[in-house]
This record gives sequence, structure tokens and C-alpha cells, in this order.
Amino acid sequence: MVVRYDEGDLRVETADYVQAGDILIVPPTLAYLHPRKGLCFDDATGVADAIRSSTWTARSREQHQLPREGGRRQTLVEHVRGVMRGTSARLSEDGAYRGTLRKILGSLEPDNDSDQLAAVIAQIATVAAAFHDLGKTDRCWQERARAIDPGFGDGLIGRTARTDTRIGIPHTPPGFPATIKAAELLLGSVDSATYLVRAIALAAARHHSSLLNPATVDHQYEPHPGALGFVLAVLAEVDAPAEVRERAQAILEAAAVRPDRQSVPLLLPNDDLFPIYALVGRAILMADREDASGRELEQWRGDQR
Amino acid sequence: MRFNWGAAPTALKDFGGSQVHLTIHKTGMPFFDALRLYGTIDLYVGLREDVLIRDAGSAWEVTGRARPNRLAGRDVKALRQVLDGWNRKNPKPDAYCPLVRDRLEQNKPLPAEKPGPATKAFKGLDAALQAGIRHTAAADYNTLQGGQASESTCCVAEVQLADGLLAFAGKKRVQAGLGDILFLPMFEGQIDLSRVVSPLHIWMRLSNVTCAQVLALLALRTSLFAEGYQDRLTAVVFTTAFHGQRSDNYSGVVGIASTAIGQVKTAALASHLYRVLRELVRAAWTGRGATAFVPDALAMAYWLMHPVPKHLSSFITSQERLRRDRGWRLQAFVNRDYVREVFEMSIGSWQGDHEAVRKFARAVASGIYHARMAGTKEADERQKAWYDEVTMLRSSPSPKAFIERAMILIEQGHREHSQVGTTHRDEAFDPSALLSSLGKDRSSFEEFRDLFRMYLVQESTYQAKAEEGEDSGNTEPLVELADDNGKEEAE
Repeated sequence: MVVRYDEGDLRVETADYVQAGDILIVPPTLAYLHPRKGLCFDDATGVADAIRSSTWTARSREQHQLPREGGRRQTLVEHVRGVMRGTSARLSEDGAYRGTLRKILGSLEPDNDSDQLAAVIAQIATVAAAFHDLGKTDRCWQERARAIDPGFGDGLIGRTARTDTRIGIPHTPPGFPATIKAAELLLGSVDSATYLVRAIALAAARHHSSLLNPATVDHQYEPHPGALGFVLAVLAEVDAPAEVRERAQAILEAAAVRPDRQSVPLLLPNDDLFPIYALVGRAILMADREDASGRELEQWRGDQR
Repeated sequence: MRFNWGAAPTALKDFGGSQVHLTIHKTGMPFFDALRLYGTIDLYVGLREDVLIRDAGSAWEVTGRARPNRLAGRDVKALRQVLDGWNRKNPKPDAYCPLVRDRLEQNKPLPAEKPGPATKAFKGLDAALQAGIRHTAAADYNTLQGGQASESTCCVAEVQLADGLLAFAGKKRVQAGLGDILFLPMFEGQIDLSRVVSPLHIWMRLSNVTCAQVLALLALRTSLFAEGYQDRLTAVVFTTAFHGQRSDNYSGVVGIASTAIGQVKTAALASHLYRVLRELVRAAWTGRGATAFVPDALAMAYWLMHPVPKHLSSFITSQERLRRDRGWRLQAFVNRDYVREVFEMSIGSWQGDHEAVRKFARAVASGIYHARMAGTKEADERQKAWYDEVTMLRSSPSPKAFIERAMILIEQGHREHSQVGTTHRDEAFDPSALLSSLGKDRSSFEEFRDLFRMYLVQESTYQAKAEEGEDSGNTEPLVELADDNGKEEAE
């Protein structure tokens, strides 16, 4: 049996062939689930951990969807630090993310040390995570957030306690030029890695929408008076040298300039760097969601599997 | 995690692969050369974000970074495909391909190899390679005498294996043609080839080569505005593939710099002109053959290709005729900004006052409407009345006669509707600016008159739209319209 999408309808039918997008329904005599290997096509004879059947349970709507904006009051620094740590851990500690990143780099750049490269990419991704919500340091964004949640204490608001209302100002685009500027300050001349930095910056800027183009968003970012303090705090988090911290204002200035359309990569799947873009994007997204919800949403560490 | 920024630049050194610089010498057959250029990039650089293409006159120069491990074997595989088609075993791909690469990288000479005929894998590389200039009817003197020929006696060129290999690899970039014509865009500068893989997606019947070329250029430039790459497009190369008895297949290159398409500054105008021309071409050549719209499609295509004043006048006349026959449909001059940009492409040095001319044209458009059209019930009669007045104005022998004629229309319109020609309708023109815009000689007057006619069509468009809406209830536009504030609106 297959569950098949056909001209707008989902059909459950017997099929003598399989096509991309089909969901297969197979009896346990044909396939089973294995806790480590996943779906295995075999009759499970002699496999101790084989799961031949399970019970369907209707989960609540809240359980189906990953937590999004709001729900947990957080200052911006508190939230961003959490996302940075989550991103950094995924890409630098042993586990699914780090392992995948090393494999991608091994295939892409076999002549380079993939461990060393992976470490640098993890660092740049952490910087991107640091600026993924930089648009929330916009003066107007903060004013609206405070109007929504007047009881919020001191500091820049990262998340309000309200989930039923929208602020309505895009907060992701300034992160793109800010990340590029920060990488430029931290790395010096990035030369041939320019496109890699842009790809990572874009992955972070797209943590709410995979179609975002920072070059086409019509909102002029205006830094809140507390924005500089925020930038200094996240730069300290990534061990930025003193000379970079002294130039923190340049990052805010870069964020206020809409990027040139040509400098924003499309990152199509036919692009060499697409796998890195997708992996880093997922790391930042999941770190963001986990920090927002306050709980672990995926098992990516090696010892957890 | 410990952050070590000091070691990062070393780790990232040469990320993206090693630098390559390739030189592709031109043969003089534009389509073939373009295929070889893109084939070289595909085989030795890949679809990368940072490929720099430079036209050095007699050669293309390509600079970029390549990851050799990801490109390994591509050229060998392509050459095997080519040789298999002819059942040839020599040269050995593993030995020959490094020599091709050396030729591109270091300009080293290639060993003499038996060239391949422009058949099988080498078919479709360029029309000139298939038939030569004489084609089958004159393949040799015997066939010329007898008037008999077959494809087997046709002049098929022999292609150097290395050149053919590169062009064969570049064939994958040829995705779609317009009618029987294949196009390839030519770019210069820093190009992300992964994002401009196949920007041309049009399938339509096209019998006219000029219209096809213009449409292809316009379509490319319009789509490239979205990428911010509009200024990197320098030309399109084309090759025809006419079938049957036609023996005039040829290839060529159309440079963009001297055309109106190359001078368009805004994406909105490029896209609008593209839509109008596409609809005109569709209306001009149908399944039943050529229609009465052929001169209009050609007038627009000629202006787009050579935006000289002579072609602008024909284009305006065609637009006036279309305004009469099709109302607001197929109108290029629907927005005052478009009028200005189009006019400045043909007559860039004009010193007059656009706003004075536009308001004057607006007043005249209202005058024509209220004095000649408002009382007529039949739509055809109204359009004829409008066109008659436009023709009278167009054929005014002198500036004096022109102004007199226009003022009579405004006056008669004012008699019917007291706001015609006043500030209430944004029609109060500045007389002194208008008169100085007329210029002092015949040629200045003709430039003024062309501009006036364009604004007259534009300012008459909203009336036509309103009328058609009332008469037919047909609200399906072929092209986007502008409201009378000059903003585009899609109905």
C-alpha cells in the first residue's frame, strides 16, 4: 500500500510501483523499524530490537508543531546566547551535525583538513547565530515589543510573553550584513571564503523563512541605543579580540545598509555549498527553537543515539 | 567551545579550490564560440559563484576557482561520448583530455588529430558548421547544375576534436528556442553561473528573426533584473534551425549595448515592454499565418533594436493605431515615466520641459474626448474620432498650425466640460515652458511632436480603459495598465 499525492488528493491505494514522494505502508513481514538503523526491509528474524508494530496516538497540536515565537519571556542577550551555544555545540561537538559537516567538507575539500575547516565553520556559524536576531535591536521593533509586553523588565526584549500577537517588523534581514561584517573583522581578508561566509550569514537570516532575500526587504534598520551593548556582549561570547570589539559600531553600521542584490547568494541545490548552507541553517534553526521552548527538541549528540 | 580566530584565515586559505585561468580562442562563429565558452566552464570550473568572464577580443578569458576533485573525469566522459558516436577509439580520452586542458590553461599546441564531422555529437553546434553558406543546393558544381542535392552531399564542416568537445559540453546550456532559433546569453564580468543557468524560458511560434532576437534579449534582460545581473548581459548569440526546404540557416551575435533593451534603466519598463512585445508577436503570427499586427510588432522590434528617432516615430504611429484598434490593450506608453525613458533613449539631448508637454497632451486628450467622442455611442466611431484628431495633429505642417489645432481641441473640450485644460484636472500647462519646448527649428519641433504624441497616447489610455470597461465589461487585460497618476496597476 502507498499513500500517494495525486493531483491535489492524498490517496491510499495498492501500488505495483513506487515513485518519489510516496509514503509506503508495508506489513511487518516485509519491513520493521530498528531503533538505530531506522526502516529496514527484512522479516526481522533474529533481530532483537526490531519493532514490528506500534500504536498510533493522536498527539495534541502543540506537540506536532515546534515552538515558534513567543511563549517564554527572554531578554535578547539571554536568548541569543542560548542560540549561540546550541549552534556551537551542534557543529563542534561529536554528533550528527559535526559528523555530517566533516563528511561534506571531506568530499568538497579533500585536500584540506576537514576537522580544522569544520572548526572554523562552527565559529562562523556561531557568529551568524549571534546576529540572527539582530533586527530585534531595531528601535521600532523594541518599542512595539514593549507596547505588547509592558511588564517586561530591563534590557532589550528578545521574546515577549505574548504568543497571540505579531510585532510586524522583519527582524532577520540585518543579521546578514552584520554577520558578513563581523566575519570580516574577525577573520581579516576572507578572500576565497567570501561566498562561504555569505552562505552561512544567509542561513542564519533565513531562520524564519527559507525564501528571505535580505536585499529586497523594505525596512530601514535603526539601532536602539542598547544595540551596541548587545553587539559587544555577543562579541565577547565568541572571544573576539579587543581590536574587533572596538569596532563593534561598524557592525551596526553595516547592518543598517541594505545589501546589494548581487551579494546575496541564491543557494540553489546545484551549488557546491548548498549542503553546508542547509546544515548550518538547520543547526541555527533548531538551536533557536530549543532555546525558545526551553527544552531539547532533537537528539543529535553521538552518545544519545 | 574555544574560539581561535588567529588560525581561521590559514584554515580557510584556498577554500573553494585552486585558481584557474583559461583562454578560449574564438573561431569567429558566435554560437559555436559561446558553446565552447560555456562548455569550458562546465568541464574545468563548474557551476560556481565566482566565475569571471572577459571578452579579450580574439579570445574569451575565464578566471575562477575550481575544485579539481569534483571535476575529475568530466572531460574524459564527454570525449568518450563523442567518440562512441562515430565508433572511433582514438585518440585515447585519458591521454588527450589533459592536452586539451593544457591548451586552455597554457596555450600549448594540440597534437594533430583527425577532425570530426559536424554530425552526431557535433551536430547542432552552429548552423554555419552544418551547411556552410551554400547549403545543399550548391554543395558542389554537379548538384548546382542539376538542382538536386541531399543531406549526404551537403557541406558539413569538420571540427577540431578539442573545439568540438568543448562545444559539445556547452550544449547542455541550450534549453529552449524561440521558434526555430536557439539563443544563448553572453555574460561578462563576475557571474554566479549557478543562478543564471537557463534564464530563457519561452515557447512560442515565431516566424520573424528580428522579433525573435528582440524578444530573446528583452526576456533575458527582464529576468536578469531580478538577479541584479542585468548589466552583465552583453549579447545573445543565436543559431537558426529552419527545417524543410529552407536553406538560409545562419548564426550570429546581437550586442545589447546599442539597443534600447541595453539602455532600459528600470525593471518595470523592461518587463512592461517585454509583455507588450510578446503579446504583439503572438497576435502578429498565429497558426493561420501573419495578421494585420505584423507591422506593429516590427515597428516595436525595430525601435527596440535601433532606438533612433526614425524608428521612434514609426513606433509611436503604430501605438496610435493600436490605441484605435485595440483600445488600451497592447499599449507601451501607459505610464509617464515609461514615456520619458523611451523618449530619452531616442532623443537624449532634448532640452524641453516634459511636464509642460505632458499636461498639454493631457488637456488635448480631454479636449478630444469631450469635443469629439463623448457624444458618440458606438465604440468604433469614438476610436475613429480620436484617431482622426491624432492624425490631424501628426500631420500639422508647422508648429503654428500644430498649436492652433491643439488649442482648438482644448477650447472645444472646455466648452463641453468646464474643467478641461484647468488645474482641476491636472491639465494647466505652463505656456512659456511649452513654447520653449517647441524649439526653434524644424527638427526640434519634430522631436517635440513625437513626445507630445507619446504623452497623448498615454493620457488617452485611461479613457480607453474606462470606455472598454463600460462597453464590453471585458476586464481581462493583455498588458498592465497605468492609472492616471502614473502608477502601474494590474487589473
